[in-house]
Amino acid sequence: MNHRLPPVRRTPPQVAVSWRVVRSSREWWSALLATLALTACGAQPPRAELEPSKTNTEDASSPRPDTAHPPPADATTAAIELHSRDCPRVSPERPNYHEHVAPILHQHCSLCHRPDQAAPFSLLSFEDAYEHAEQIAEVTRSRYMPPWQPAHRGEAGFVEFANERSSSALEIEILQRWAQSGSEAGPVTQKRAAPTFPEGWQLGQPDLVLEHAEVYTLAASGLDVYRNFVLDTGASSARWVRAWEFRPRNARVIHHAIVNLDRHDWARGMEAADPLPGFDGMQDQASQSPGDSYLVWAPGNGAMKNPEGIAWQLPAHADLVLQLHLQPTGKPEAVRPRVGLYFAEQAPSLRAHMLRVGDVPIDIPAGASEHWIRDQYTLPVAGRVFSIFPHAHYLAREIRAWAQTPEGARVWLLHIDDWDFNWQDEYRYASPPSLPAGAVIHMEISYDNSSANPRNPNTPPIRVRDGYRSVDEMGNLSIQFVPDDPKGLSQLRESKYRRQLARGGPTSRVLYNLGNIELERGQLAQAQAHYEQALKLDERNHHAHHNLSVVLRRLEQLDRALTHARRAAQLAPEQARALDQWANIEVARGAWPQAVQILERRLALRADAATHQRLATALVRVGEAPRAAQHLLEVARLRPDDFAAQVQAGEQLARNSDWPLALECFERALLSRPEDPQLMRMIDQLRRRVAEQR
Amino acid sequence: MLAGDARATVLIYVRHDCPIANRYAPTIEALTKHYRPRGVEFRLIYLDDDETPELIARHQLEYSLSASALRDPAHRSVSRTGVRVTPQAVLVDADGRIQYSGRIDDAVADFGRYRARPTRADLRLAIDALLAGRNIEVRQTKAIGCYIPASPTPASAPTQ
Repeated sequence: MNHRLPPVRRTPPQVAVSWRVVRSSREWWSALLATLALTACGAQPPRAELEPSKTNTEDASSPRPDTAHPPPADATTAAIELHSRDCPRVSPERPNYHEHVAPILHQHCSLCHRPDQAAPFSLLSFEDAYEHAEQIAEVTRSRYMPPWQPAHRGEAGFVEFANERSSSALEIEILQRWAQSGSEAGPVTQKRAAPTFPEGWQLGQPDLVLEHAEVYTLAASGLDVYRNFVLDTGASSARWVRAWEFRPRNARVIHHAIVNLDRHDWARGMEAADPLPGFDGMQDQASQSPGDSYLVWAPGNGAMKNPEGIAWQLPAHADLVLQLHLQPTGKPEAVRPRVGLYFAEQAPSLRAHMLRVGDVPIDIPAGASEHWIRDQYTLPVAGRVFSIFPHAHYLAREIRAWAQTPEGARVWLLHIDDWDFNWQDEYRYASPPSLPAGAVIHMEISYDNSSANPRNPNTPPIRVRDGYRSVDEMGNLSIQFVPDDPKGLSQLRESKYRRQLARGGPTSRVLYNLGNIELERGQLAQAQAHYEQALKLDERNHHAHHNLSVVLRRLEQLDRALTHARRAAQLAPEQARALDQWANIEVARGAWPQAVQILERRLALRADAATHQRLATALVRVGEAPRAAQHLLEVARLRPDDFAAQVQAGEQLARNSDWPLALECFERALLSRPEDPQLMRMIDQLRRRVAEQR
Repeated sequence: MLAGDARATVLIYVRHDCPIANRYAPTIEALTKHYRPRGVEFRLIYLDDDETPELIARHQLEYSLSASALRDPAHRSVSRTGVRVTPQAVLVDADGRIQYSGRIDDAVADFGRYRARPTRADLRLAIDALLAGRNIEVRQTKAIGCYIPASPTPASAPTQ
């Protein structure tokens, strides 16, 4: 990640290891690694000393690697990498641009600091850097740039993240000296080409590109705006998404973007109620992140690829809800970003669960300069932590997250010293830490609600409590966790809902969710109990009515199943699945006329092949063969490649002496089986009949 | 440099691609309009040699800045005013004396750290005091913004 440092000239590194005092294999290894690290930095390894002196009798104890207990291979590689990134800290006295500064800027800055990207100016050439030398020195010294909130290497709570974009202490030192020593260009012979970046979509043309129908105009001045936009995916079946990319179009305005899913058309309603494109709100409560990923974009993030084996699900008929954090620039700005989705061919091999730690009540007195909230969560199963996304608003200051294993070991997950809402991001672990069942994940967040905090939105400070508005506070971690055993998913979900139950008291939604877990496990009686409780708390919870109906049907209690299916359809008349379930039960009861009625209503909602097919079956049962034939014809037309559908429709139409339409179906069937003699005979006959009719 | 019969002139150093200066555009425009009838003229100063008259005109149009613009690619005014960043304001009285130099207000606490609303409008306070003949309490503040290079870039410096 970090660039290779300029060759060190003034003080050649010395290997400060005396092999004579090496006693244990552990020391032997660390000495070897230190040597290798220097090699990685371009120094000459002191070859003569690589092997311990054979003449020295003191070495007899164990100077050589202890072959019985070699260090794990992983640890060795990691240590070598660590050292090579942490090369001897010597900055040239008068660094120059071409040799020393350009490699740093090109690696850490140019991705955003180039034309049409988020940054306000380019850092590609000497002239670019020269003009901003003083500013570069200042913002790198204060660690405002490159924007990276977690602890830096060497600081308390440092964790290595795959998407790290921090610069090293040496790099910062070089930039300071360059600004102070006249910002020289250096030898032209050392000049290197500016880096190039792929144009357009980073991963090629996406499988699905979404954008909002209308352009939103951000006002020239005022406070930051949080605006949500509904993107219609048009997906008729569920898809797995392996990667996604956000292209802001107007990069300087969009500070970050979060993508959520809405399965219930709630966000559409909110958008419809707002006269301008989109709708306002920092966190709309209508939509949710997919169950197994957190989708966030920040400037500088390219395409967001899931770790190997992980994908998130885009459910059928779900909308994407794009939440944008917009910063006024001084002039009106057009906002219309695009989202590209890349689908996976197959279901992912790993299933992740989003752990949520935090969301405890917050009540910060006005003026309090250090107010802590704490939370913890005990893992019910073992697994690995892939990523962490911390969330808080403007007053939060320090964020700490760590895991305590049952054996007492402490594993840092995240440490942010000075939280900045503007640069929130998801942090992906370079090597996902493994945690055993029973490990406790701890979260601590401090808030500064004093007037000395310039980020405080209230002057003078006021009492602040938890809530979704930007003047409220929040504090939570979304942690992407992959259980070692996929069966652990249902335990994780159950523990999540049990926690919600314990915290917020029983709500209809939580009880419904617990019912779903039991349903998935096949525990019908428990599922029934949860759904019934959910309905006791909220009789209008149509999801609970629906699923209770599913359970009762499996338990052969058809009359009660019918009652709840009807109620679900009554409460959510626009939901196709409610009518599907109702029709299922009518069919199970053998009530064919009722089934016909319900399926006709269902067809009016969405005319898909499956419903035409079911309606045709029901119509045959009530003796309406001609109408059944019409629906079979629709199935055949909607599924032109389905051989069986063509034949079934053709036969039914022929039975009703509807020769031309029957012919249409058999001719389509012939496309699938061009040589079928039986089909060809049938077609010949039908052609004759059609001719006779004329 | 000074506007003819104005009671005072305010020089605002800007740069077309400085996001901090640009974010101040609506504030600068409001101040320009507010003080024009009170005899205080605002002037925008562009220092970068690459900022051509056409580019300046386009910038003013885009950001709705109605104050007259001046170009100072040789940084002749910089030695007098000592400005280091954009945006920075310099209040000059009718006799050509610098009465205030610094930030417009305290909306920017640090790079990337904006207050929801400013708690102190330093430039306004200085102008009002000057117009009322009162003592200006704070004559100098630290402006936070995009640094002005010490001298024009060697590669693009005009030969003089």
